Amino acid sequence: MARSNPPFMSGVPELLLLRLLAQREMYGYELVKAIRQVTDEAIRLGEGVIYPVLHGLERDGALEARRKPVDGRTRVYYSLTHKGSQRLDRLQDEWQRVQGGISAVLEGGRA
Amino acid sequence: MPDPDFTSFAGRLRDVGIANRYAERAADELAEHYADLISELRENGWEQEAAAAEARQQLGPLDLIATQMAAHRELRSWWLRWPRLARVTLPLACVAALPFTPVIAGVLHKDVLMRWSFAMLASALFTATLLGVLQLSIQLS
Repeated sequence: MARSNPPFMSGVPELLLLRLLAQREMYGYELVKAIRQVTDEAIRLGEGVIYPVLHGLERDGALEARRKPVDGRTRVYYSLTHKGSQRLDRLQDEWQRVQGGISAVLEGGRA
Repeated sequence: MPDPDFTSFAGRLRDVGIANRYAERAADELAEHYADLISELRENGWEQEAAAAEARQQLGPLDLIATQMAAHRELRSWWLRWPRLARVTLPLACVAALPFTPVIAGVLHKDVLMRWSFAMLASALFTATLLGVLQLSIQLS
């Protein structure tokens, strides 16, 4: 079974998916591969994680899904909506704030 | 070893309360995902059987994926997300829909209805013709 990431990754899949889909529309398998490649295998999202997150984002109106026949197969492509762009901006800001905080602690900050 | 049963997987998702549209789509997407994994392995020189086994291994047990999906409450059917509301509205909706049930059934099964109507009409015409011929033969005799 594929090794995936521990629970502290909660919220990260959403950010990564929105960021990748901001570049172009993609389907599930393509997204899993892209995340592995871009993060140099540091982040591996399992299928049980990626599809519920995609469906949840679509349900919230952050993504649009459409079925597209490619080479005799039907793939579900996801693309970012305006609402999704706003959500991505918000998540990126939040992530950078958290990342800054963690870096400060790791670099030896003391209370 | 057989391919994973994605049809049963959709059923399993419905059983744990995932809305039908997400259950169906997740099953389709996972089936495509599995096919993509095999294709990629085949392109990298794997034999079909070995590629299928490796793809199954990478995908992991479908039951585990179903359990992970079930944790996403937002994907559940609305009556499972708001059970109290459902307990009030569903019986009311059923009572309200009752008078329209024959019409809806007629529209949904219009082909069968047309066939039966035609059969009934044909049998009535046949009986009427038979009786007419009988009547005529009595009068002429």
